[in-house]
Amino acid sequence: MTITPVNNQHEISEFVLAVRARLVDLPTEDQLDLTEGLEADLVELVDERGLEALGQADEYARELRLAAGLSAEASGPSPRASAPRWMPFLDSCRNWALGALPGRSADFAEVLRPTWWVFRAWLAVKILAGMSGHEEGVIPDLGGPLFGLVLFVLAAVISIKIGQGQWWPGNRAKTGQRTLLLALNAFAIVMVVPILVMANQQRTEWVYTESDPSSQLSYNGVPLGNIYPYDAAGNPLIGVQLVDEQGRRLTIDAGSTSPIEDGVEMGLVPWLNGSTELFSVFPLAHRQIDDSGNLTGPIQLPAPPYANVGAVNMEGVTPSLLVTKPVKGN
Amino acid sequence: MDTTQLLKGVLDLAVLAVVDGDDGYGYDILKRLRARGLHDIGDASVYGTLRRLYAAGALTSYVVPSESGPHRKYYGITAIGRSQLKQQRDDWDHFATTVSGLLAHTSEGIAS
Repeated sequence: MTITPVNNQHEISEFVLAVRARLVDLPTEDQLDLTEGLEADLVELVDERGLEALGQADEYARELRLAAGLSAEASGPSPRASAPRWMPFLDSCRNWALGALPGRSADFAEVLRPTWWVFRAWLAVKILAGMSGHEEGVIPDLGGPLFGLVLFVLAAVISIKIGQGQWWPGNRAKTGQRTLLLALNAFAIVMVVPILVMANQQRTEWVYTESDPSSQLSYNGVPLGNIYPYDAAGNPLIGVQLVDEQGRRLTIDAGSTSPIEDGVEMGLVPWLNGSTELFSVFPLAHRQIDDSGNLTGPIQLPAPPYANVGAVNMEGVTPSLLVTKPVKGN
Repeated sequence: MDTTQLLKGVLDLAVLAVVDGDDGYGYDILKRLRARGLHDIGDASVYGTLRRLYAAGALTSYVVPSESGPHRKYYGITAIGRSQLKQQRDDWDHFATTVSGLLAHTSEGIAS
């Protein structure tokens, strides 16, 4: 078969679209039955007999309908009359996109389709995980061991079956189904960048927590809940103020911990310098948190982890003396 | 005599006959029909007939991808189609014999 000139191809495509436009009142399946493969046949027809052999699309469609056992003319306009025009438009877009690819790229795009089917399944799982607050991990666990992996495999199978046209909406998709599938694919494409950025940020944030020490006191990156000072004799001290070599107070983040005592959530109580609250004086006391989040009830000084940690000394250094009586409050 | 109406009556039979034993795409089937003498047959009539026979289960269809252009849709005959072909061939033979006999009788009457 000889290759049809490109300018004829345009007229043939226009003719096929015109014929399809006169079949819009028919179910999508009937439209496909009547016009699938038509373009290829018309290419051969025009190649052999010229463009004039195409004739009038109106007459062609009328003859086609009658021979197929349908009414000669399209029924009157209905609320859905404009909807099926969308199908030829989608077909044209797909054919144009594949035709616009250079060389064998169209074949390459065909080969890549299964990869896209799996990738969009992964995107769906990530989106679902993001909505449920379990977005961590390449395959998020979604709150249960292996649950995310199982969900991903299930989503991949469904996506592949849809891609192959074996499951919903199938190769005979109605306009609405095909449009919905197109919208879902478009949504997945739009979400590619946000999902990848989110995945990258999770990794970055994890590194950030470990590499950049907080201004709050922490131990191996974990914020401290309290500090219990002891004197040189090993006895616990109360009311020790800590500052670093530059005179900055070493504080504990009051919001970072919520100790539980007897099943009741407690909050840290700051020491006071006048009216200034200080979380740099240790140990910090506890106080019950009520339903409104306010501190309430008596102040409780938590017991130190050890009654005595053992005496220490340093040559030529005289340690502070243990204060056995509490300082009188203001 | 306008053979268009006659063609419509036997188009199913003609299409099934040229597809029997050899699958073909729409334009190919059209050319087979014309090559065997049905020159006045309309393109769209053949495509419509193919679709109707397919819907009735007399034909099966499949798409063959093409590297040089749009995909082709091929049609092949089914068991139902072969049964239909046999039945319609018998009907045609009976009908043709009847009409031929009628015409022969009329011719004799006119001649006498």
